[in-house]
Amino acid sequence: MLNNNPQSKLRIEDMMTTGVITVLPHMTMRQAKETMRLKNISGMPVIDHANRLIGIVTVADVIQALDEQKLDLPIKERMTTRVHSIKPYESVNKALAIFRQHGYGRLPVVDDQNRVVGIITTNDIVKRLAKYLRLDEIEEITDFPNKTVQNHTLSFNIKGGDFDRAGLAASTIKKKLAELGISHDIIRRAAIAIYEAEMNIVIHAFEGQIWAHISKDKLQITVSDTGPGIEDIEQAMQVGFSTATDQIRELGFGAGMGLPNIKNSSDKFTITSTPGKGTELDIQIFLN
Amino acid sequence: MMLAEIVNKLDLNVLAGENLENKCVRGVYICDLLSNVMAHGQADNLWITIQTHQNVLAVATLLNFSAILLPEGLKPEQSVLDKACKEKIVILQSPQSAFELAGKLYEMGLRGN
Repeated sequence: MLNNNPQSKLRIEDMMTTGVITVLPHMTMRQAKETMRLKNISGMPVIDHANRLIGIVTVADVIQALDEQKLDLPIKERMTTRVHSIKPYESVNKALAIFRQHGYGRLPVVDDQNRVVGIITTNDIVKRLAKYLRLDEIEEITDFPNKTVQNHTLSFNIKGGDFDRAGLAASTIKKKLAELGISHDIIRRAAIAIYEAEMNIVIHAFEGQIWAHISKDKLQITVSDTGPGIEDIEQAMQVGFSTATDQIRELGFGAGMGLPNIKNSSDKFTITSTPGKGTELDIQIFLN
Repeated sequence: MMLAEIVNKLDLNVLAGENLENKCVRGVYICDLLSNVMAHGQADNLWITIQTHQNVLAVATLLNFSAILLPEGLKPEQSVLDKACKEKIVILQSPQSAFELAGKLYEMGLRGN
C-alpha cells in the first residue's frame, strides 16, 4: 500500500525550510525569546560552533523560564537535549510518524555529520502534500461499458485531521446510491459504514483513500490509510474500545463504536492492519 | 407531526433552514456520541444534541433527520449555520434543557425509535 502512495516518494529535502534560524548554547533564554518574537517562530535548533545539532529550544521553554524568572540563564541549561532529527534523504512518512508519535510540531533536518541543514514542520508537509496530492479532488470514474448494468467507481482522498470535510465521501456515495434507486435500508447501511470509515481516517490516520465500487450485485468499499495502524484488531472491534484523545471525544467521537458499526452495517467485512504503517478495510454490502 | 407545529408549540428558534411546514417528524433521538447516533438514529428524527461542530451536519444529512435541536441556548459557529443553510438542514435552538424538551415532545405525542 505504501509503495503506491505518492507520499512515500516525497523526501524531507523536497519540503524542508532551509536557512534555519539557530541559536548558540551560551546565549541567554532572553535572547532566545527575542529571536523567536522578532522572527515569529516557535522553536529553534541549538547548534555548536561546527553547526552541529545539540538541542532545541521552544516557546514552551521560554514560558517556563519566564515563569521561574530564569530568562538570564544560558540556553544550554534550559534547552531540550534529547532531540529527534531527520535526514534530508529520509521520507516524509517518517517525519509524520515522529510528529504523530511524539506530538512535535517541528523537526531539525541534519546531514550525516549531524549538521543542521534545515527544519521541517507539520505545516510545511500539509501545504506541500495538499498541492502534490491534489487532495481536494474527488474522482469519479463511471460507466464502464457493461451490457446489462453500469458500474460506478468513486474515489476520495481523505486527510487526517480534516474535520471540516469529513462526511463528504459518505454523503457523495449516498447521493449516488439514491440516484441509482437503491433501497433506503441499504443506503442507510452504506452511509453508516462509509461515514465511520471516513471518520476513522480523519481521527487516527495521516491520510487515506476510500473507493466505492457499485456493481449490479453489490457495493464494495475499500478503505486504505497510512497511519499508526492497529496493534490488536480483536480489541479494536470491541464496542467501547477507543484510542481517541480527550479532545476528539469532546467532539462526540471516539466512543469505540466505529469499527463495530461498520461491521454491523456490512454483509462482509474484513480488516487488516500493520502497526506503524496503516489499515485496510474491505466492506461489502449486497444490493439484492 | 409537522416540524412547523413543534417549532410553534415549543417556541423554538430557527437558526438555519426553511420550509419547516413541509418537514415531517416521526420520532426523537437524543445523544451526543456521533457513532451512537449513526447506529440508532432513524430517518425523519428530530435529533437533540449539544454538539455544535460541522460534523453534526454530516450525521443529520446521512440519516435524513428532520432537524437538529440544540438545547440550553447553544449556538454553532456562523460557518456551520452557513453550511446548514446551503445543505438545507434545519437547526433549531431552545433555552430549555434536553430533558425539558424531551418531556414536552413526549407530551405532544412523539416517541423514540
